[in-house]
Amino acid sequence: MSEALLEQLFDSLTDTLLMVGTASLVALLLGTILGLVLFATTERGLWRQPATNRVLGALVNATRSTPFIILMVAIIPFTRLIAGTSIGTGAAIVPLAVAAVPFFARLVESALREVDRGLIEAAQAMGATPRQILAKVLLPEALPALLRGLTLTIISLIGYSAMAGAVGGGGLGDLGIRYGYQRFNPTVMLAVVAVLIILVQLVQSLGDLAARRLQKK
Amino acid sequence: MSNGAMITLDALAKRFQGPAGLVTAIDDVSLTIAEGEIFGVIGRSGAGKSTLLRAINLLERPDSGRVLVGGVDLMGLAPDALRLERRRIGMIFQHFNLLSRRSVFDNVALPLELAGLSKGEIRARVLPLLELVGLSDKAGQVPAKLSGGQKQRVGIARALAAEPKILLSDEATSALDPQTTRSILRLLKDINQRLGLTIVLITHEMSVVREICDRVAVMETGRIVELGSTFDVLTRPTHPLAREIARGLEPELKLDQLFGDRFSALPVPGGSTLLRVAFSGPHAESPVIAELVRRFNVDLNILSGTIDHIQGRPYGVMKVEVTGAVDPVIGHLKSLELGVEVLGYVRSALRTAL
Repeated sequence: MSEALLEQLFDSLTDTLLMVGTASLVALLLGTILGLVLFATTERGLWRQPATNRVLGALVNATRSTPFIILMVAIIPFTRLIAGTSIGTGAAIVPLAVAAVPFFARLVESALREVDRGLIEAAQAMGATPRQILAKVLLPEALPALLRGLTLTIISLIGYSAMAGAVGGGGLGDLGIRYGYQRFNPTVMLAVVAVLIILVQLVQSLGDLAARRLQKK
Repeated sequence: MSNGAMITLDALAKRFQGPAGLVTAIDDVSLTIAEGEIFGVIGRSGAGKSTLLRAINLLERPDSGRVLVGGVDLMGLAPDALRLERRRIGMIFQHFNLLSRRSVFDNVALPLELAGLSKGEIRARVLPLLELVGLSDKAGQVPAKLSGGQKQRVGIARALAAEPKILLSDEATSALDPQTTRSILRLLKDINQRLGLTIVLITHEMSVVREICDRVAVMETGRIVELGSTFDVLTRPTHPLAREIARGLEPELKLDQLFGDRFSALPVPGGSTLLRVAFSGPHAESPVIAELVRRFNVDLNILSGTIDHIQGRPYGVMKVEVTGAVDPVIGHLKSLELGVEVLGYVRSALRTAL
């Protein structure tokens, strides 16, 4: 493997980590909030807002059913608004985050649903406020499942980030497509795939480890 | 302990939208529970007892009626005020509802954290409670490592943490084996006596009621069909359901299996009579059976017999087969204020053989 290839691999890996890392952080923040709202606003939720719930649910479903490559192009005006440009690695972060937020939000919602309703009832009987129920009961009890959801989100983002090249972003996927596929260089392709496999494996193992740790406590 | 009303439920009603239309969970229930009392509500599943219990702390808000706890009308309170009142009402659950990721100590500390107590104050309250329920050595464990009985002890300590006046128990022993059930009931009784706590418990097991309740209400399809002291309801039930539940404590005697073809629901000439005699009241401990044989010259065959203490008073049930003139026997038993009931008749074995 040539030194130039190694250097390119390293640069691309950095780009991928930057895109996936930033989008994951945004997803963690906004997705948790959106997931909480989706969970709490149902008919039997802590904060009943069935209309809000339906609108948000539809929005989440719409985003999730749009293929990422189309989403990326469709929201270019929004991307320009946020990132100041619609081209490059930085710009690719916006659609990645937009895709990841509803994805993670659904995982948060289902993780919260898994928490035994009896625990909520017990907390209510103790005179807990909805906010206390959230902070002291729901989130801590759902933490292992939330962590597994985050792992899944990060891995999906690694996959999505391969399409960043379509808007001029860098990253491993872009390297593989331009150098490996379009220039017909199997060495580059193999190297990219190998790095991606190791990356995903690493994220999964770390996520599993952390979730197991939390579960034991 | 004064005997003022701690809980007053006044004309409560609650209906749910079920899959097959409206379901009435509570149907015009009024009752008063005294301070320091252990009050039981018994009934089959779906009778509405769980909804009734949850109406006391408004986890289920009734459609109409009033809920007075310690003189405060809970249904008239704003959410914040209701939350403060709920802290004075502890609750324990069939499935314990402990937080799996908190230690035993932190589970008991939860209500105190919610109330905003400092770490020091929390420690000072939690440790004696763990001692009270006998779990001082388990403070650092997670609930998953505990047995069912230990989990319920944590639940009880947690319910007591905020120093409530009332403890609501939702089938708290239904997931436990009989021995553990007894130890949990003893703990509840102990707490009731030591802290003067008012306890309201719902259960489908009459043995639980017999063990600790002062009074009991029998519930069926959202209504209270019988209410009285545990002794009276168990020994002189009037409603058919109350009778069935009370009789559930007696050893089962399948008369048609015992006597086969010889068993008859109608009197048989020359046959014998099956009686159920309930011993309570002043003559519960007199040698009644021996006297019957001597005085009325009948043959008595004892099929089953139990003697029990309910609320410290003796109560016995005997099933006997009487051969001979039965009417004077029944008259005599009634004159002694014993409960007598004819269970059926048996054809003479001799006659069947011939």
